Amino acid sequence: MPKTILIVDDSLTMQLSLKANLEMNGFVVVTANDGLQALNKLKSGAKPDLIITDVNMPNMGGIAFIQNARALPGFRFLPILTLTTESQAAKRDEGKRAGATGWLVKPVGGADLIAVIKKLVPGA
Amino acid sequence: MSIALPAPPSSLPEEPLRSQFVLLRSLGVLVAMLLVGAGIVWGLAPSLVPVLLKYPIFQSLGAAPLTALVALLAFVPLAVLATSPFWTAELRDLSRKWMRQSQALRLLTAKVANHNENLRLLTAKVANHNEKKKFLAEEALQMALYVSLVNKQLDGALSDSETSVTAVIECLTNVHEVSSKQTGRIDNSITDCQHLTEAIHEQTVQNKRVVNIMNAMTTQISELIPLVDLIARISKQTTLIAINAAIESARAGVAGLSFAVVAEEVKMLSKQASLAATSIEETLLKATRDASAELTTVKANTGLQETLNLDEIITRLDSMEQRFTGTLSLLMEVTSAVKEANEHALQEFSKAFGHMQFQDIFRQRLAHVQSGLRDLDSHFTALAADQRVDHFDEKAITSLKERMAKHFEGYVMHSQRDTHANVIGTEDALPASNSLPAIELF
Repeated sequence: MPKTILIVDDSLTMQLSLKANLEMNGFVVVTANDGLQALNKLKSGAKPDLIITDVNMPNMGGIAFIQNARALPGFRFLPILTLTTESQAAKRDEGKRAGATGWLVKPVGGADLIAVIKKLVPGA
Repeated sequence: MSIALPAPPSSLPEEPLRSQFVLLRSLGVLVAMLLVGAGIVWGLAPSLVPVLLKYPIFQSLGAAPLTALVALLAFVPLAVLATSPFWTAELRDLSRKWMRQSQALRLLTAKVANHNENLRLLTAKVANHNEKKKFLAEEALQMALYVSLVNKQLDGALSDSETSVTAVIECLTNVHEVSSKQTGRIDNSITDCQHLTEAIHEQTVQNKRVVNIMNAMTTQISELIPLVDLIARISKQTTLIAINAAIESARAGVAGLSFAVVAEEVKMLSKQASLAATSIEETLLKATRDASAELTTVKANTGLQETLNLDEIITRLDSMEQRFTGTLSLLMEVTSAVKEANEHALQEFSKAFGHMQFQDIFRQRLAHVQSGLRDLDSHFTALAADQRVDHFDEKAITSLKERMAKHFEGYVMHSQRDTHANVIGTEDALPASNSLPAIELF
């Protein structure tokens, strides 16, 4: 059964490029434009196998989204990766404290991204 | 516009109060001398007035006024002469002082004229300054429009780049879909070929079996035909024996009646044997015809020549199967190569999609440029507002240096900080974020 990935990014380009890359590699992709929309999807019953989120977004940023998602039942151990242009160590530490599984700085090669996902999602 | 002010006068006039004091003192001495002279003349007047009264012109005046007039006219020159040693020096001094005063007055006039010129130039400068302020205020207003214009242009460029990248993503996705469909078709072809090969193999095996059976049947039939002949000959012989036995039983008379019955039975048996032999022969011939027809069908199905014998047919069928198997291997090699190429294409697609993240990076950098332009607009607006008030308060305006420092704090990418440091230069060391790995799993 194909694994599902939730992409949270306010950039249409990022959504489309990630979606295309992941679908080519056999994943099912769900998208959200910001943290709030993603959180509502999780509350509505979406059960992704992994989440990739941007950090700087309108309405709700990536760090706040991770904190809120971790508080939901069933998402405590779900792999959540941040994919961002934010390169400062302080911000990275903030993400780690919020509960992020990994920190990826854009641009990340398509093959590298797939390798990281396969490492975190058993059976992917 | 620059205005050159004239130089002030080189010397200043003396104090006017001191000059007035000298003048008053000189006048005081003159009055005192006049009074002394008048006293002296007043004593001589009684002897001079009667002489003058003889003339009609003085008679109308009267004695007393004439006396006073004579005294005055007589003693003024006297008094002047008497006091001249005192006031000539004063007058000389006064004259010099007046000259100095006059010179000072000229200098003062020049200075006033200079001040007036300065005032005129200053007024012109103020007017020019006001024009400048007005111009700056207008420029500040235009700056907002200018920034808005540049921002819109950047928005347009950003939108264009996003549209282009989206179109490229769509194209790549379509190419990948086509490629996937092609791979699917090739996979289906392989499956079909495998099924076909298996069917051919089964058919070949079946054909071989049929051919072998026919071969065996033909052999067996060939072996049975002589037996049929034997049965037929035996039947004929038996019929002859039965006829002979009947003849001999007839010769034997009554004693031969039972033998005649046996002979009749033998004859009937011979007839039945003859019928059986005929039936067997017909059956064998039918079987031979059927086998021949079957063989013709096999030849027709396999495209073999009519003249080939069974061994040759089997050899040809083996060869056909081998050719099919070889073709399948070749097809699988081609498919494998196509799949490998598709895998490579997939990797390239993945790379391309990774590179497309540049658009998001580009977008964020442009957003920061737009923020910088808006900040510049705010700065100019603040400067324009400051131009309208007389009191200048430096603290009320955030300087460009402070604004640039805030920009530096707002950067998210190392490349942004790098660019800023290269252009502006920074005393503080850049954060060591560049040394952190691009991918870090916690």
